[in-house]
Amino acid sequence: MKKIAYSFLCLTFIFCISCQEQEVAIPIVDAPGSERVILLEDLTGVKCSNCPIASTIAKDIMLSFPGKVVVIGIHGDLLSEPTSGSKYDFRFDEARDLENYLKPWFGKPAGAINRVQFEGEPELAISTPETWSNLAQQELNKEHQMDLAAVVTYDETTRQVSIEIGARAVKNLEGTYNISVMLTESHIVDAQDEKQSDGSVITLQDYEHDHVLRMMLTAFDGDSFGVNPEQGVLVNRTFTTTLPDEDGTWIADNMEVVVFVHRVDGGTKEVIQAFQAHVVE
Amino acid sequence: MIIKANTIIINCLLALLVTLLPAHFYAQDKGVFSGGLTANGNIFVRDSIIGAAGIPQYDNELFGSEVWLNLNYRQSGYDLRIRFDAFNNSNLLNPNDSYTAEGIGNWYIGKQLDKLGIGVGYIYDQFGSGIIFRSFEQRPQLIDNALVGARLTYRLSENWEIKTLAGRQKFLFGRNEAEIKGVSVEGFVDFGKEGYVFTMAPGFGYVNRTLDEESVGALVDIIKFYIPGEQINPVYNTHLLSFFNTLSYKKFSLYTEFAYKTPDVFSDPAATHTALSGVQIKESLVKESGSVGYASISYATKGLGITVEGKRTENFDFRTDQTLRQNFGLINFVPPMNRLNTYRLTSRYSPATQLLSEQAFQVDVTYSPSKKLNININGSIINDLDSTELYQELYTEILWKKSRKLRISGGVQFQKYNQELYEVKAGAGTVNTITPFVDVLYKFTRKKSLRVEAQYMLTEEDFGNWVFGLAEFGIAPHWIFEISGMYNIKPSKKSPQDENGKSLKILYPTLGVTYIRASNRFNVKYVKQVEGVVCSGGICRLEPAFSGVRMSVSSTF
Repeated sequence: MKKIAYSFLCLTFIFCISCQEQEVAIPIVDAPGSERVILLEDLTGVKCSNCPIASTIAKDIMLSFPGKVVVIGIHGDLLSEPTSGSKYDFRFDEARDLENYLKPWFGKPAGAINRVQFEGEPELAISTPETWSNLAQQELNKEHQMDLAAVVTYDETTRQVSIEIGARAVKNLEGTYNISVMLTESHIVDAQDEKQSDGSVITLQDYEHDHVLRMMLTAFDGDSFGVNPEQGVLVNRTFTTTLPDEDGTWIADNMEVVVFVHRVDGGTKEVIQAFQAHVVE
Repeated sequence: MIIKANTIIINCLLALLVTLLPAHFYAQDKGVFSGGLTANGNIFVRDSIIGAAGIPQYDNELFGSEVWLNLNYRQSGYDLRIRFDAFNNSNLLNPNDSYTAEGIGNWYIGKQLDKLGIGVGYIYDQFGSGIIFRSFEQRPQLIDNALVGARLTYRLSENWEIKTLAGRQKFLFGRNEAEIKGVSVEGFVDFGKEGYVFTMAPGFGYVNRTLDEESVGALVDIIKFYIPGEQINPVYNTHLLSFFNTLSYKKFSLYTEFAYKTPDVFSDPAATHTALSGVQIKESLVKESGSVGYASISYATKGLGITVEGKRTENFDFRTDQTLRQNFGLINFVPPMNRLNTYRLTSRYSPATQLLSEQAFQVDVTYSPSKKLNININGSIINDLDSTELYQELYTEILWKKSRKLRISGGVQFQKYNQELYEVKAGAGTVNTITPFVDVLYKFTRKKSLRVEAQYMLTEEDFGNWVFGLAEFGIAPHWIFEISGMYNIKPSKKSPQDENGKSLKILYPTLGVTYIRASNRFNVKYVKQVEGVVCSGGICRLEPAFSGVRMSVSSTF
């Protein structure tokens, strides 16, 4: 009886592992056809040693879908305090509030893609960066709902930035919407912890930080935009601010304006449309 | 949907109880009803200096709790179990966030029919040492990966049993979608002449995991962004096979197990790939087979016990969904190769089992020259397969039972812990520690006792030197009073600092009282705890500092 059982098991095992599966087809990535521009909010930090990988993935997504993806790097609280050799501290109150606003997330790096709670995902900001590319593509394939543009004017003498925004729904929308306006800065060279392939973790002193959230011109969860925007109706908003003095950062040439409209009711925080422009063209 | 399903299950269990208990059973075989309760409550008191802040419990919620209530009933070979779980602002799932949910955590119906055993519901079991399959529960880390399905066992003979099971893995109050099935055969054989008898307990295990469409789709959605030349083909089915055996001869015992995993797609932090945009990205999905070899030889005689273990692990990350990370979705359990330390400072640095690349050895010697003296020496070395040092430990302890009233133990621990790799901390390097310790128990009377512990950790790395002291006064059978403190006596630059950048000497105290009555145990204590790694059986996670009051109740009935 034992021999029969053993023989049966061995044959079962050999049979199972010998079966050849049909090869799984890997589809080609199509370029999105709509005018949609999506937002990728990368919850990051200079002490987050896995975050450089996520930043590279975010950069890859921008390159894969040129002009269609706006990336923001949010240094809020967790793992965002300065590390060894840091010259700057990227944290500020609105960034911390935004990091909490984008919960749930299990750890950093975490990325919110259009602030959509994807089906089957327990997190709003997803802590598996390798899945961001596909989720970004999913969002880009959705219907375009709003045209959004802004004219950015910068006065070099006064360091004042003026942002004139125009938004127009391309179809009747339901819900209550807010608008968020942010300033980000790229090409900031400063320290960053990075995990190496052999498992060791080093602090890079000359890491280039891009799209770092530096200032919000609205509340962290946005200012009121409107309720049930009607198709074709133009909504205008104007924002102005003055850049702080340069301290190695706040370099106008490296700064970008980010604008996006997002829903704030109905149990969703979904971003409808995003826009990005340089402060200095 | 889950609440409705659980309600239906409870009703079915009750109906089963009523219909399976006809009157004559009461006369012949009285049923046994039993249960257990574990309840924890935490009051969070913010302390930003030690880092106990910035998570919802400290900032807003202030209180969190977990409750598990088990109810069991046995009669006439039937085994019925049900458990209610409740989590209220709990930080067990994610130490940086809160989790609230409640419902039926598990249920089980089993029946032994002569040689056939039948079980359905939430199943805890393992094959061999668990290297290819283990479903278990570990509450401090909220690990509960019970297999929800069915299990059949059959006694082939007095010494041989075959077991088969199938189902899906539990995750909180839902399921991970992959299907898991397995079969194992275990037995016992003795041979040899009288006086030279060998015994063997051989076994064979096979496990198959079939990914669901969604999980395969998730892998495809990642791989499609790799350049075509680097794309790999995911598989629905992964097969694991293990052979294990315990060979015993007189005072010697040898356990060996070898496990193999067919090629499977998993994430490798050491691999890179090229994205469609041309960007090089670290940490990639790869498709590789895996293996684990484990051996343990032990010798036991009066007054002497020696155990030597060795293990080699390569590419053995096996989950219900290969995009899951940390301790989520694990189907198997690869045993740890370090000593389970229990003192506060000797357990501060504990290595997590590495699933992709690890080779390790451990030696444990216990020698008792007399009834009053016991000496234990334990050593372990853990490297990765490229011989990078991960962990080394030498632990020595002498226990002296001077009299019925006085027991003294003491020793010293030497450690090398690769904190940079285990805790992913930049520049942390390897932490080298020397920790002498002493533990004295004195019984004033049969009822009153005092236990005192003292430990000192010498290290130049991480937070620097620590001293720990504990006094525990017991009044049997009901009361235990505890006061302890862990003091960063010589802090380093990595310790918490004041606004001037000066490292602080912080005391992390604990004051507590425990009341025990019959099978009920009540405990409340005020705790300040430094951040650190919490491990259980090689499964570890980094936990933030804690400040507040902890309460617990446990009861069996």
